[in-house]
Amino acid sequence: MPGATPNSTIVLVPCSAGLVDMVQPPRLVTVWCPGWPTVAAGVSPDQPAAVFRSNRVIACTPGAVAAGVQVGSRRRAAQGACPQLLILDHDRDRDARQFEPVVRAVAEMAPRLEVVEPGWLCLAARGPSRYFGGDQAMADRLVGLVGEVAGTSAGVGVADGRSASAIAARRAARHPSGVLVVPSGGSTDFVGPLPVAWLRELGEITPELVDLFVRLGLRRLGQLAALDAGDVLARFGVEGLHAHRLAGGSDTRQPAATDPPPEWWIEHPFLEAVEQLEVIVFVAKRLADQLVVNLSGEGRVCVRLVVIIETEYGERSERAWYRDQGLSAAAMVERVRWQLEGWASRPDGLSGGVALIRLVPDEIRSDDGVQGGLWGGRSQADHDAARAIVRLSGLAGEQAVKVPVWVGGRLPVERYRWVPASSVDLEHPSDRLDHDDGPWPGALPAPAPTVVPEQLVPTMLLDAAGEQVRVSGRGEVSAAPVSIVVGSMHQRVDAWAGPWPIEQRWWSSDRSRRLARFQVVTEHGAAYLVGVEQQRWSILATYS
Amino acid sequence: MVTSSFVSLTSARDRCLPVDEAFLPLLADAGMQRGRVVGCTGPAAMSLALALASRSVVVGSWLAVVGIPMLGVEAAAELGIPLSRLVMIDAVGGPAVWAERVAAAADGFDIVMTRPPAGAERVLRKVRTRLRARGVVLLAVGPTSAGVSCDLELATTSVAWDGLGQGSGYLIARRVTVRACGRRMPRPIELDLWLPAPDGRVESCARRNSQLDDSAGAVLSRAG
Repeated sequence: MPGATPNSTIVLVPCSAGLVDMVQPPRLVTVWCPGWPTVAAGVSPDQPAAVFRSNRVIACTPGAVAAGVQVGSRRRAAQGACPQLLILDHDRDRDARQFEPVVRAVAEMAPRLEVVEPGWLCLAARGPSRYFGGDQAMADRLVGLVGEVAGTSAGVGVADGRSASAIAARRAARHPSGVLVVPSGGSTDFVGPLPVAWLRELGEITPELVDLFVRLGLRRLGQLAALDAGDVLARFGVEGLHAHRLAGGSDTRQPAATDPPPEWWIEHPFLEAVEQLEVIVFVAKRLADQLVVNLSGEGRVCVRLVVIIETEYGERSERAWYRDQGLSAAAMVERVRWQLEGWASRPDGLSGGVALIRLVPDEIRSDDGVQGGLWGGRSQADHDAARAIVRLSGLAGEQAVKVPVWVGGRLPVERYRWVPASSVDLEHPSDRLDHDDGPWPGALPAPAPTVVPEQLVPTMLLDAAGEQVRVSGRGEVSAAPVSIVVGSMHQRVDAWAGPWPIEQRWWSSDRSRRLARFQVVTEHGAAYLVGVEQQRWSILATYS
Repeated sequence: MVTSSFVSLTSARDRCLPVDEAFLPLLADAGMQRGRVVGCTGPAAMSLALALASRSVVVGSWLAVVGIPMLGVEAAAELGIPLSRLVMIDAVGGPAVWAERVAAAADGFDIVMTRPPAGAERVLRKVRTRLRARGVVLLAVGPTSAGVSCDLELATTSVAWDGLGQGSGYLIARRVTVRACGRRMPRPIELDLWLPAPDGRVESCARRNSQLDDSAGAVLSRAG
């Protein structure tokens, strides 16, 4: 049926409230583990710990919440609130790997589930609910099961529609029982009185739009849902319409979502079973690229992908992955990698090499250009570059093709890190590059040096008597430097400034650093950033 | 045949990658001619190469940096390069590996910035064909020489830093004399540039001075 008239989905129907009511949202169960990245890192809930990305807290333990740490706050603010806070780096692969046992345990109860992201999964309520004797009984069972496997308390929410059940799960997580069941048909009443900030929490609506709703006086989800859908579309665009749909508590499944015909399937049987992860991921990358090309040729994007992997002995791993914004090729490959790593890390996991990999776009919708760039969509240059990156990664190895990630720090070498280009989503660079433009206390002002060696280059700064310049513990310079040794050459110092001392991580015995920085310009106009650490001089960077 | 007639029909603008207006006096065309090798040498070579590439990357081209692992990413961002379109490719292992990586990068990137290893000239022919066919600009960076023969060589000759004193201040701005010479230039052209100016941009010294004179004149006339 869906394949018979593919163009019919493109017709824009200004959906009135009556039309929305006609579509019955499916009853869904959401399992949500609060602060999953901290759980995956193996921190106990009582210990104050937080996971950071781009210098912002993205998840923290209940212990950290009690100490006043908030999600979204900066590292400095978080450490100010709780000085003994344990700081953890964000690692999506670790999150996914650790979540695998939970997914498996839940899959034994209800096989048809989908992972929205590590720590958050979703399944249809109908079957399991009947089997276990009602929504409440099933949810109680799920909470117990997840608590047992993951060692953390989870929230289980049951409601009509994806957004309502996701909100219910988050509210349930704060409740001692961990279960919140919204009666059938009660999603609208449940969601209505909640503040619109919940839209931001679900991660599907940008904070700017939520702020705009608040400024316009739409403080409750019910107020937003009461507006006419056509008006919302006219004023706020496609994203506003999506927010309106979420606020109504009705299904967030897009109206144009269809079950694709089976010819969308794409698979690769290996003639000889393969055991190396890189090889399988490489093939998956090719399949994903092909799939995305096939779909985008029809103006579609995949929102729910089923990844099926089989071994030579007939073992099988099947998992559904959901992403509301649509899965790009890189996002698909990431999920294949998560599934494989999770499977391989289990004691009863893979017993042989992989013989088949199949990608099934389970749910697709028309691509409304959520990820549109300045000129709407990706340009030819972006396509060419993405292809070249794949080719170079195959030619030179994944570690040899890199893109920068913002880290932040006082020294030039600390501020950006290189990561393999194949491990990031090139279409969404904001994850790795966005940061505040505010000042970084202790860092040197612009211009930044253009040559930043990863290892320190030894040098010497000499005074008029030919002695090495010394910096005292109080930051006093023994004498003005007159020459610098670069390589084996002595160069006259024409201008200099410093010392600018840094003392980093004094509390840690192995990572603490104490150094003083100088800027030096030589007779040839070359400028260097030099540092002295325990009376040893080195060139930290060059302004070439 | 088809390609050659196509090339002759495209306008000079389409055959060039755009550059900052400050560089235009150094170039015979409206930008960097596609398919050419541009050398950047001297004490400010890296900044010059990044500043040359930045306008094209802003308007959508991708920049591949081959074999310069110590590139200062923050400096690239300050010179205006959007980091979302910057990719680094390692090229350890001699000129053959370098040529292979540059040629592969030329297939997908509009600008390739690299530091040619010793002996790069011998393997450059294959690379050059690829550059011409794909219309890619190769920026060869080197402290003393570009390491390969260039269609256009931009040498930073004299460099003067502003802002640093004897034990005081910090680096703020740099004046650089850039000398352009090449096959299609009858005689070398010299240009004084701020690289960067105190506000972080790249500007011609003459232009900035005239602006300063104007503002000083305005102040004087107001005072008068």
